[in-house]
Amino acid sequence: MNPYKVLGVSENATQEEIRAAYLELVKKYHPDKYADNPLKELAGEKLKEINQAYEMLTKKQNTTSGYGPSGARGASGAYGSSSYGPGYSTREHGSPYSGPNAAEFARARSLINQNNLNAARAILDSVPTHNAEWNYLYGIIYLRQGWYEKAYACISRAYEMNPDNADYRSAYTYLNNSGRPYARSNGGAFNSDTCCDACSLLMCLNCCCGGGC
Amino acid sequence: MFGYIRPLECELKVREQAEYRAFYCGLCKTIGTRYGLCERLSLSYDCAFLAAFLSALSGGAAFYRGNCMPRCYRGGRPIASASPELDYAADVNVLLAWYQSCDDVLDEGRLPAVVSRAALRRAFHRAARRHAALDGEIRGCVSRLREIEKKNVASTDEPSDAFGTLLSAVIRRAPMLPQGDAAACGWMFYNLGKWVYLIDAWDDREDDKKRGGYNPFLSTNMDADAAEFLLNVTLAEAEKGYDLLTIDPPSGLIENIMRLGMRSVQRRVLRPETAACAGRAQRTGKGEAR
Repeated sequence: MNPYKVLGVSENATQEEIRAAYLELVKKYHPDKYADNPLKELAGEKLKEINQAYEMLTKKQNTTSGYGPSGARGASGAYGSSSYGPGYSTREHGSPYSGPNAAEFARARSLINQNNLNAARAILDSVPTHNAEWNYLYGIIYLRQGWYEKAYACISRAYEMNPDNADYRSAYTYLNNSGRPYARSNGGAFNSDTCCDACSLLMCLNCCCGGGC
Repeated sequence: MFGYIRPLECELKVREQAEYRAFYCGLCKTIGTRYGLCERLSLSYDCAFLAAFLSALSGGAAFYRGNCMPRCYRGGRPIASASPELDYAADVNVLLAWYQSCDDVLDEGRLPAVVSRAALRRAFHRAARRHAALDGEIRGCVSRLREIEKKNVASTDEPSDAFGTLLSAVIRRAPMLPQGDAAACGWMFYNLGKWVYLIDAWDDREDDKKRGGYNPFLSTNMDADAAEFLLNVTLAEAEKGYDLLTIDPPSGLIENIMRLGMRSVQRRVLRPETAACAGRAQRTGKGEAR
């Protein structure tokens, strides 16, 4: 493995550049982003590779920089205190479900994690209690299947039924954020309105100030 | 298909724009040599994207300097050289154009649709012979779509799932697709297909209302905000698949299409009053893309 290639930096990149590239990639393959996605494993492998590459490079330049190999992951502290190991996730996790049909729901959950959606659906269909957990799990199945209209309906229902559960809340928030990206840069920046507004505002100010004062 | 997958041209570098046009011209020429002059009219932006995407995945394409016979006044320009990627995109282009024209005949039954289908018949049979398995899958998805339309299913998920499955078959069946990228590409194209279907449905809402045709947004009675939400989620998922691919050397053109181009098309379709882009993408109408 060529760590420079993995991180997409040149061989004479500085520590700052390497770290910036690393953080950028961590953001790209973050476990939270792929939590309810069929490509979860693939993203995990990518992240593992990136972590390895970063560790190699920080170890190598250990003498010239302040980042030790053990501190390498801690160095990503710019995002918070968490480290980004493959198994890690900063997404909150609720306490294990303990209501009616707990065994079935646990089985369905692990089937979903193995991407065996049909088997998970069969279990859920056989369960008579359609509570928040049921709706949540069904929502995740729909999400992994790519049926977003239904997924959103189920996950919102789970969240409304039990807003205190961390799992439901984070799935609901995540879906909302991906459907309403509030700060999309570029592309949308061609609205001439804002530009015109600024210009006309300046012109008005000019007139007012120039004439009045 | 529909011509919604395209770059935001005003954000392309000059080199990337030349590259995009080279793929477009190259695909047109490939359709010409593989099928015939008439079939070249079925050229679509989506298949130009397919050609560029497959070429980027397999390490980039070669170009030569050439002329376009019908538009020779423009002088020589780079054109993508013949390659398996272009051949595949040309075949897919013909297959999709055929099923599109079948759909038009069933929907409208007007003369232009009938004529274009008749013109494509020979080419379609040749393409279907070349890719029998792919043709079978496409046929299955198209008939599932018909079924859903007939039943007037009140869901955006079901019909878009059929079209997404169709596009993911297109990419998974590409002979030059690297095995390691198959899963990520499948998910990316599944979501691209969903997105194309939904954006086209939104665009056709008024027409379908007048004709009384099936439209998932009419049958679910969804407003623009909810539609935009779904489209955003779908694009975000397509990008997740795309993010997991290793495109080496990186392609600014594909990057532009994935991150800017489709989002700009979406804005233009959903909110025509606010999306005022100064690029070519803004001025070219939908009809031209077919």
